Amino acid sequence: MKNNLHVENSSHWEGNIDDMSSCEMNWKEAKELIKGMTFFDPHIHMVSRTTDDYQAMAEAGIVAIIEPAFWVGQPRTGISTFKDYYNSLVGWERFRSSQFGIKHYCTIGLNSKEANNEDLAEQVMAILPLYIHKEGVVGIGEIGFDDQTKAEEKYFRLQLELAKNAKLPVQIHTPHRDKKRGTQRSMDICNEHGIDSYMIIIDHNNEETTKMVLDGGFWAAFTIYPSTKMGNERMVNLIQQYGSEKIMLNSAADWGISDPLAVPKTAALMKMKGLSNQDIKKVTYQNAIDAFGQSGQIYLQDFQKINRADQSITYNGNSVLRGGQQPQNTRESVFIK
Amino acid sequence: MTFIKLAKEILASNVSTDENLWLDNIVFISRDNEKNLQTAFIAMPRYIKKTEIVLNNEIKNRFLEAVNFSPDGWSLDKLVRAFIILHFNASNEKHYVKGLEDLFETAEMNELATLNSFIPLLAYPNNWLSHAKEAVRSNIGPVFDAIAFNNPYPSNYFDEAAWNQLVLKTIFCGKSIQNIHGLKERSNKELAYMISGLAHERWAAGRTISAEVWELVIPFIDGFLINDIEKLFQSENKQDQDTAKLACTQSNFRPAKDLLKRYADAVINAEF
Repeated sequence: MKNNLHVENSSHWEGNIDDMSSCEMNWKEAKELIKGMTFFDPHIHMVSRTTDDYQAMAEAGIVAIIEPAFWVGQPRTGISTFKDYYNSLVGWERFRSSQFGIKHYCTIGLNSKEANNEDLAEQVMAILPLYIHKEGVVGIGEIGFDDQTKAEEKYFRLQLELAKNAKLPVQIHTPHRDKKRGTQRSMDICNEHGIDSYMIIIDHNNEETTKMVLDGGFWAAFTIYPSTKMGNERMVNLIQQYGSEKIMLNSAADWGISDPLAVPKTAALMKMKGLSNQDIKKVTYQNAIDAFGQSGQIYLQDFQKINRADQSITYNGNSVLRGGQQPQNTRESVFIK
Repeated sequence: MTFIKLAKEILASNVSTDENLWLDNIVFISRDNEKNLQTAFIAMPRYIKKTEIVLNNEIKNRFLEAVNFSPDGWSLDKLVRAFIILHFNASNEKHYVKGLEDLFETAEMNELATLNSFIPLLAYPNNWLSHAKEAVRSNIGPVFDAIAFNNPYPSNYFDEAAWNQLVLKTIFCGKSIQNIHGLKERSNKELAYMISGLAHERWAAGRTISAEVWELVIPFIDGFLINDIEKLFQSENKQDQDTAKLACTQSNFRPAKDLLKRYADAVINAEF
């Protein structure tokens, strides 16, 4: 089963030749290991993904997701596009997801990058209260630091107050650059505002930040994202080191090269490496529900009743997408009917 | 308004003590305070369950008499939202419309569906025409359903072009037309021809069209549409054949009678 050719040709291969599980196992085979498991991906940007992804996610056992409000790649120039974006998170995307039997939640907030456009940021702050109390809004997010500017700090603090008053969890993006300091600063600010660390999810952790986040009593979220964030083999090591108590995994799949199946794939890898089903369930399902469920907006029956054998049940009498389209996956067939 | 009175009656027997307390409080703190009502409308699912409301025939009929539809089968949260909306002060049109426009403009999926279901209850009915037409254009199933089904607003206020789009989109999406209000009263020749056109596209693609849609074509059968009815006679689907018979029986177009006779004879011959 070993794919030696691949290893020989791969100049970037850095692992131990005896420990090449990711190389020798393809996803089709690995899927068997997690058959019957259900997953909750608490960070994924579906506005940037296709229906193929939704189909693959449902097939892999993902039953619910959280879509945090983020920077869509193109800076926004006016308040209307912010409004339309928030509307799509609670409207169109929510419906699109339901077409595939996946329960869609979101977190609403002003992302750190666009907090630097202060004129616009002020207008965004004015409309946020209209959204944060809505059904299915499970927190304020993703907010925090990008360049760690004064403006970013200002709107981070204002939004923490908003979350505190609305009694909502907070999903915190930690910066790519100067990450360790940015993470520490984010936690210090949360503490200054007197927010219970159990309400705070610190996202995009790595080996350097895990200990301080867990020691601070916060939830530690990990983004399994090729190249720039966590790889899933490193992730397994971290869980073996720190346990599964306050850790949750997500894909943060977006418009970059990312993987919407990162959570189920990592579950398969954990299974291969001998982690217990209980640990796997905690980091790929339960902890996200415990953390974001503090919003009072997550009802298990909303996604537990989904009968995957007969997807049409979840379509609620609504015709699927266009016309009477059926939710079948036709990618393996040449015929398109 | 009568709807409020009836809604109160149903709410009394459907909400828990806690829910009732929240609702009383909202009504109390919202007197002439739109912001509070808006927030209540938005945050409502945090306080009210989604249990389904089942009405007996007596109260269902009282609703039908009063507002021409009934909330039978609605979830409780939807009725509570209606109740909240009806507390908006309608005495100042500009103020009233703005308060509701804000809700439309920032609505999430269920809110938007709910608002569209309530359009027939809102004051200044002509003001909501663009929202109702927008809901017909929506790709979000529950939003479309809210305006299309069990809702008297479109048949009362849509012009013919908008009405025809609503009916045609319902058929196109494979949904049943039976729950559209005013279907018979608003049927028209243009629509009959649009349905025929859609059927031709479906047939060309090797697909089918639901037999029930032909009831909208029957009153307009002419020398062109009669060919579609003949096609139904030739269908292997029993429902299509029955529909063809019904169409010919009901139509006043003389050649339809000949067609019926011809196919009735053919069936008899085949049976022997």
